[in-house]
Amino acid sequence: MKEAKTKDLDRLIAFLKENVDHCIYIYIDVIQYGLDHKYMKVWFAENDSEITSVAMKYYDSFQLFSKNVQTDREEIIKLLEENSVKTISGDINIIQSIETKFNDDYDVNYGIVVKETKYKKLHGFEKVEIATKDDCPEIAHLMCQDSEFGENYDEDSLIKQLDDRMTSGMGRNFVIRENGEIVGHVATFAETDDLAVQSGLMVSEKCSNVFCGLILHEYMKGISLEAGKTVYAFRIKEEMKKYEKSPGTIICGQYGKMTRRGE
Amino acid sequence: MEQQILKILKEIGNGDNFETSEDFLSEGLIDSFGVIALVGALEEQFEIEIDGGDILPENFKNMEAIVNLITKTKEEGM
Repeated sequence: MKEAKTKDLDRLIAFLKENVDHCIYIYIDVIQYGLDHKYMKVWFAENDSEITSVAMKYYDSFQLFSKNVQTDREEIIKLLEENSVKTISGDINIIQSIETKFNDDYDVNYGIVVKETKYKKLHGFEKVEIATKDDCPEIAHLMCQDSEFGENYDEDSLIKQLDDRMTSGMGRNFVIRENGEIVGHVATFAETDDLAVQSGLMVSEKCSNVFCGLILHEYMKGISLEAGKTVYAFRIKEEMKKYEKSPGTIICGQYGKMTRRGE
Repeated sequence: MEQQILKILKEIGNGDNFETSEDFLSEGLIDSFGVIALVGALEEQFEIEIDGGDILPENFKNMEAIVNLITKTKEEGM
């Protein structure tokens, strides 16, 4: 694997775009930051001048994609051993191929990548608002009420992350209020001109509308699709049968995420 | 029609108490994303297109409500 330089950017983007269903986060971050980000590094492997694999380190995580797992596996493993990180994610093929090498230190989970192509215009869209920076503490509080999510994040760091993402324009946050209080939230984790990645759907137990999450989800899809963007989301594998039946939802890939134990 | 709906519900929903449940939503048998999957499956099965404005909790509360929604959508499509 060799480190990508500015001269490699155009063909790197072309390769990522061609395979975007399987390397969404790498594509978005390379589009957004180029190759000059202080906490981001990109490596690639090639064969006959054709890029075959890409690895991106962003802060304390790696994102991987390989079209040539058999050939590039050892080089990718070497890179990961030289740069120990908290999480390693990527297309299912590469993660399955390397997980045994790291299973002493990492737990692995698999899921599906869905691409949304349709939305339903629902009653309740009129209640959705775009969140501002002033809403970050309330959104963070709502998100941390979820037991699983709250275990991994503390409110203060989440407020900072939400604020940072709003400042950088990486994604958008949508909320629904009841009696002035935020009871539902969804976000686009990241957006480019041509795609959006959904995340952060959370509804308070206080919310009186059982369809609040659905309204937020459809609204976020709608606003992105109307702007000509492809909408992606990452889901747990157990929910696959639901998405197979959802109109306009295409299961376009599978991913794996390895998390260092004790993190 | 009910048997066809029941088959879909059991495929998509969380659990299989649909015959006895009075309220699929409050009893957690269908969640938000399940509703969208259910809409897709009903549209395919009955060759209808359910209007977004009809995707309301009261139309997915129980078997009777779903049957009424399909009947109404079919009639409107004629």
